[in-house]
Amino acid sequence: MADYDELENEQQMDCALDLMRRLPPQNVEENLVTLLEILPEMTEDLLSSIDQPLKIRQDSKSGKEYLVCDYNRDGDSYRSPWSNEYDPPLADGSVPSDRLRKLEVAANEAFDTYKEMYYEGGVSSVYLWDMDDAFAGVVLIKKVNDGTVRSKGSWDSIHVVEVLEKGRQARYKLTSTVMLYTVASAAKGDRLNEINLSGSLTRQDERDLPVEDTGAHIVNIGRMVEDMEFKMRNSLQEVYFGKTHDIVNGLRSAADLSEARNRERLQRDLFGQLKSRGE
Amino acid sequence: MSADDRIAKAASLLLHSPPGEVDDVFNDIRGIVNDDEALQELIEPVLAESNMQQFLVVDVPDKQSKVLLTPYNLLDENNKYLDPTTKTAFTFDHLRRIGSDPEEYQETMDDDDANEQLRAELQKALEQYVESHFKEGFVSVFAHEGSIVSCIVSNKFSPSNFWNGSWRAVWSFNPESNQLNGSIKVRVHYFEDGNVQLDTQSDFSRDVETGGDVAKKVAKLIGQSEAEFQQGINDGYRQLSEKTFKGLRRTLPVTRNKIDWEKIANYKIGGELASAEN
Repeated sequence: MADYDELENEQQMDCALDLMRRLPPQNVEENLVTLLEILPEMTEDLLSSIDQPLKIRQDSKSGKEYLVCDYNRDGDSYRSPWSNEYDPPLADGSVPSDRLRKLEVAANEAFDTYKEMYYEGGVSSVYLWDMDDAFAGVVLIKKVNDGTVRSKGSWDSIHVVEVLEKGRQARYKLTSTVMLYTVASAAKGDRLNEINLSGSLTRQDERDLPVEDTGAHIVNIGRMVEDMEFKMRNSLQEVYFGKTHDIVNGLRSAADLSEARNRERLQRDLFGQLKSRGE
Repeated sequence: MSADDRIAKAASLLLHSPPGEVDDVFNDIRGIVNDDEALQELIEPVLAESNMQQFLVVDVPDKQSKVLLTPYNLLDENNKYLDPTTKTAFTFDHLRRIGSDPEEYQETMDDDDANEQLRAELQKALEQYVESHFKEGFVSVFAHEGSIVSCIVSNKFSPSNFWNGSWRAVWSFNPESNQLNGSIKVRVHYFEDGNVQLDTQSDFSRDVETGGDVAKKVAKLIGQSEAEFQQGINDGYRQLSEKTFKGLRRTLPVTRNKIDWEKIANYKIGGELASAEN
């Protein structure tokens, strides 16, 4: 009977994930809440598989901001990458090993610089966790742009990396999701126009890279994340502001189609006449 | 939450389907609920609501006519709809998507004769408009509670290219107040390795000049308003692309070069990592 349950769970998870790819990303948080209500027995699996916009918290000790998601959650508490402590406090919350924690501290510093140079603001956090024969981590970045009245947006990067160390080399598997929310509003007279263009894209990458010392992990992961975000920024631009815009203009033609159709008909008639003359 | 509540909640998700994906969302709901019998009982009214929301275009049984399914031509609680062009009432099976039992519908109130004429003229005028601006568009005009309601739909489905889109407009003209109220809704879904959706809607309220060819004036005003809405979308895209998106993340740092990771790793945290080695 265990096998049947497993199969049923797998099918339900596949359907839940497919559903999340179709329901409006504008309501991604409500969508997850609804799924949790429908499938409460699959709560842990759903929480760990469905990306949500990152929330910002403040470290009570240093006052520094950090990002929270399922990866730094234990129960109802979240771990700060700065103090390595849980909020609300946990007696024995799961933390990375000493060796990994040192790498985590270094990674947070490095990606803080990366974030400043590309985002000129925003918040970043890196969380690492031990695995058998390997370790994994997530690099999180969030930037919000709500300065103007006419439009606002937010960018959430979630880069999950799995690192398999093999002597002086390591295999890095990266799965990256960028959530991009943009809203433009124009109140003109009697019309209230709001254009909400939102969602996410996911990409993967895998590389085998040399590791001379522990610091090499930061260089390797850093370069992979940077290259990935470079590609994804281009894809986001193309998909959001190119493709979807083209689709809208394919739904309705601003220009009068009858002119184009008349032209086509004229050309066909002309071609027909020329053809019959040649015979 | 009881099992019944959960199934009802799952069924209601159908109403949020992107254009052209009702079947896919339905299959997901079936897979999640895993109880076809219980789902079957609840899903029919949800499907009906979904089809009317999406302005489903259907063939009128036994007539060479098509009509939109909307709340404005729904005749009773038993899925009976009216096609005003052929004056036919028919029943629609929302599950199998087939119409049946066509019958002549003569129930028009006397003081609606003027409205019926206006309705027919507006239908003709808007068919011309739709042909000029929508490659695969469709319009149905109904007399509804004293107003003339025009429903326009234009869909483009390309699931093999991972995208679908729809344009839906409702225009309600009140011949007594000469007011035209409208609402246009556009939804686009792109889903190759992701889920990106455009959701935009705009409401309009305009006054129509009295006298003359009213149908022509209403159609012209509808065309103008829809053109303005489309222009507004173009402006919005420009704002989002050139201001909002650019303000979130630079293409490259100010140095115009990618990051020197060796430098960052060594400079900032040399001490931390050296002690990790020991």
